[in-house]
Amino acid sequence: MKQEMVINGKKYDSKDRVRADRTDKLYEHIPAGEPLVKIENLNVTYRTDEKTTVAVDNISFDIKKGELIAIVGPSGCGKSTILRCISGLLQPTSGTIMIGDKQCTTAGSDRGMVFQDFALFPWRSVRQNIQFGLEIAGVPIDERRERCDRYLKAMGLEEFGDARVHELSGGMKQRVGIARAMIMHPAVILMDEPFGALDAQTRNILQESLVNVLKNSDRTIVFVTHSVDEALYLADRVLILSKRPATIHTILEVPGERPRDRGAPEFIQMRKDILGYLQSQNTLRSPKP
Amino acid sequence: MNTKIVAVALVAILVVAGVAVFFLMGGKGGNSEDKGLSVVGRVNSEGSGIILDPSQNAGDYITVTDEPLLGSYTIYNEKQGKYYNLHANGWGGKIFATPGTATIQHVQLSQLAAGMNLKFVAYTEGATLKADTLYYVPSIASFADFVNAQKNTNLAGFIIWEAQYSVGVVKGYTGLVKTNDIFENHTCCIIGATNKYLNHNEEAFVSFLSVYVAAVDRINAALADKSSADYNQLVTIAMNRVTMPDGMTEDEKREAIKSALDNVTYVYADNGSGSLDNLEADIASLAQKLYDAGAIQKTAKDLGFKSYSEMAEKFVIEDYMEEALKINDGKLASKAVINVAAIKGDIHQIALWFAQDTGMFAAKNLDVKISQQVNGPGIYTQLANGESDIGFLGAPPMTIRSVNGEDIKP
Amino acid sequence: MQLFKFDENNRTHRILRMGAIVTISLLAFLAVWWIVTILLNNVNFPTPDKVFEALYNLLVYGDRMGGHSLWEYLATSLTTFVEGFFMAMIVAIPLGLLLGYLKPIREFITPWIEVLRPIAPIAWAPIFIISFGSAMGSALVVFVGIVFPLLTNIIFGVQKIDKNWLDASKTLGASQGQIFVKVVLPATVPYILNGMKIGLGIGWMCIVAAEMYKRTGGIGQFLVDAVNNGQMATAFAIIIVIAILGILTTGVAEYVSKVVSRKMGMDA
Repeated sequence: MKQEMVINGKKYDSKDRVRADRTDKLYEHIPAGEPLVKIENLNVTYRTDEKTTVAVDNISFDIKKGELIAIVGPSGCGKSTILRCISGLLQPTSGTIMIGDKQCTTAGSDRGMVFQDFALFPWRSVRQNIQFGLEIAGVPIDERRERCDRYLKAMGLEEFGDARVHELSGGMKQRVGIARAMIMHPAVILMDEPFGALDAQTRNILQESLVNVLKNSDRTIVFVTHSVDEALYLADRVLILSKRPATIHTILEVPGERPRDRGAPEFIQMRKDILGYLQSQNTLRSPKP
Repeated sequence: MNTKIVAVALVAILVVAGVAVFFLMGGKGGNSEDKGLSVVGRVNSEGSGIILDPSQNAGDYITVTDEPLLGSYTIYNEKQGKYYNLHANGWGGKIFATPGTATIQHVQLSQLAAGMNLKFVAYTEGATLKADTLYYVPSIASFADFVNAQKNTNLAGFIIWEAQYSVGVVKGYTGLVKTNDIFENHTCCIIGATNKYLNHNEEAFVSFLSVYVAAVDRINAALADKSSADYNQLVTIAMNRVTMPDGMTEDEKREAIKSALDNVTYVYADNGSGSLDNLEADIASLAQKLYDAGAIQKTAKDLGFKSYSEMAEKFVIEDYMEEALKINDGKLASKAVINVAAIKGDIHQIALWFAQDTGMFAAKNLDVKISQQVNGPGIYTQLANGESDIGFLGAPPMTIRSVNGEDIKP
Repeated sequence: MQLFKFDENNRTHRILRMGAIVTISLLAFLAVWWIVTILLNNVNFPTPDKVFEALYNLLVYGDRMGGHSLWEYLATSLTTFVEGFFMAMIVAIPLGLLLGYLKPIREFITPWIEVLRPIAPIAWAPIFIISFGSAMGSALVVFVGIVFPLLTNIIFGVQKIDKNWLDASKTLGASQGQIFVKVVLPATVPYILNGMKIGLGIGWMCIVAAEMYKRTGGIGQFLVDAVNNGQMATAFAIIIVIAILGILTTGVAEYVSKVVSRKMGMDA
């Protein structure tokens, strides 16, 4: 299907890499809670000389507009693979992923990404990192600067605008990473274990930061994580995968508005159930990715 | 700073240095009498010339008159009774090629420049040419080389030994002047030898010299009688042994060779009795000139002599030549091998090849092995490292290198 | 025994210590050199004092025989060197980036590089000088000497770029062209600088060697003339000058490389 999109006056078809900012405007017509991204029969199979490995086996689910959906599963089950397929960085072996009525075959700014190891550009300052996507989209300098300042403030990075990346701690780096993705207002934000490289306390702080940001804006976020606690703290829904080849075990609704009480009883039971399931999936010999 | 570590480091350095020295010194020992080089004979005098690029006008450089021209650098040629007038404004600002800074041709060109009050300076590309200076490009040792070099640099002319001068003329370049005309009877090539060889091989060497002398005599006789068989043989040998560029017909080559042979004076000593006194004086004054020019960096005192004259006395040895002229049949009882170094394609040294190619050496039981080098310094290197016993090279390179290299022992 | 309390964190202390070590090392070198030349007792290996005397004469009087000062020769050599250097940069940087980025072209061109690279640059000198003239010919020899290490470094650098950066820029909407200019280029800068540093050292060797062949000026020809006339102390002095220049150029390149890398936050 050759789809055509007009974003900020520029025409894109499904093959083009989307280069605009505020791609969320494209999907304004979809009401909150309705499916924004549809994944159907997703299958990712790796073939090497020796053998064939099925990483993701026939997965189908929807991502609803405005939700934060967490994906958890045993180690190496293919969570990141699914995310990369949605982002367009990886081509599935079969199956389709549609965002609205556009296929997700190439990467673009409509699906922003936050990486586990930050992926910041060391030759650019914090400000310049955050503004990267806006530069790409051709946003004028004044507007860039103004929006960047707002995000610096929102992520608590005001004093570090001109700092170099290597001067920052891990937590601060990821704040920059999140700001860089969010400033583009992509239709979907994909977060690949964003807090995985951070220590427990920083992790908590950043989770709260994220919750704060979500209070003031509607974002659609797909959040891959190892931590069940994190998933329960942040997500509206949690998608639980089986071990490789990954299939969907179940999708749970997480009750309660954010910010949530980590110690609340309903969460304790859910945590127990999910952990129990994951434990059963993690055999002694974990499948090598 | 742990003293133990420092001590170990020092010992290590000394050990390494010692081992290096041990290897480098291997075989360097020996009798001190055997160190050094000597000059033992002449090879030729005259036999070089200056050719001009066809674009140049000879009259701008030199005019030949019966009376000296005022305002020019005049050289009187006794044999011809003419005056050679060199015009500084014709030479100034021009670039000439020479076979190398240590060669006699180079020295002669520098003398001409000095006579005209021109500075004599190496040409560096991109330099602006000044009218008060004559520029040189060194290390051009053949006519073919010269033509190649002309592609990159605007060379007006070339001072070079025969047969390259005659080759140039045959190929249509202007023969400006022969060194015979302006440097009458000038010393050119000489025979050098290592003292080590001389001290231990007197008989073989004297025999070699006697053959050489006989060859020179035959060549001079042949040049006097061009109908002789010897003359034909001489020309043939020269055509084989002298480097000439590609693209010359057999006739052209022959013409160049014949002309070259006529321009060189083949000798072995000052006179028929083997005296080398003039050569000695020549070398002494040459040494002084070269010291003033900056080529020689050591004084006579540095070598342990009171003056360059005293040095030349020790440097030039007549005895072997005198002996060689006395003996008639220098045939050796058993075969002797002699390693000779000669300049490749140089017609000055043709007597050596004549003797070799006509079997004159073999007839006296001399197995002469000739190694060919590009120029004078190359010959010197062969002598200095002992790979050759005897060398045929120009007086200037022999003098410059032997003084700088302290090869003349008091 | 501690005469002096050395404080590792004090910059002055560190500099002094470095200076002391270098001085002692060089003095020891001088001593070894002296001993070796005395033991060798060979006129072709002059003792350090003669070499330094020749060096002094060189600096003050230049080349009496050739009629030029040392600085004139150096200027000639440096000009040609710089020409060759820039030619190498102009070719190697775009080509290296291209080859590093596009695998099929790289696979196709690599055999050409592997065939040409082992040929010693100086071997090209006669051909280049005859075909293109003394100035361009020797510049080309320098070019050949510098272009290969530079090219190899850049190709390597492009391939070493963190894939995450490329992924991140794609998810921010960058087109191929934008990725090339905004990510690949800056990421490769440290490798370019490193390649330049290596190339500079090699380039010096090439210019001196080419000039030995060229015969119209430059420090290499000066060296050959000195050797041909048996002026060994002068020859050694010239070699020292060349060595110092080599150290200076590489030192400057190293410094620039470090500063830029630090500014770009890409120290590793």
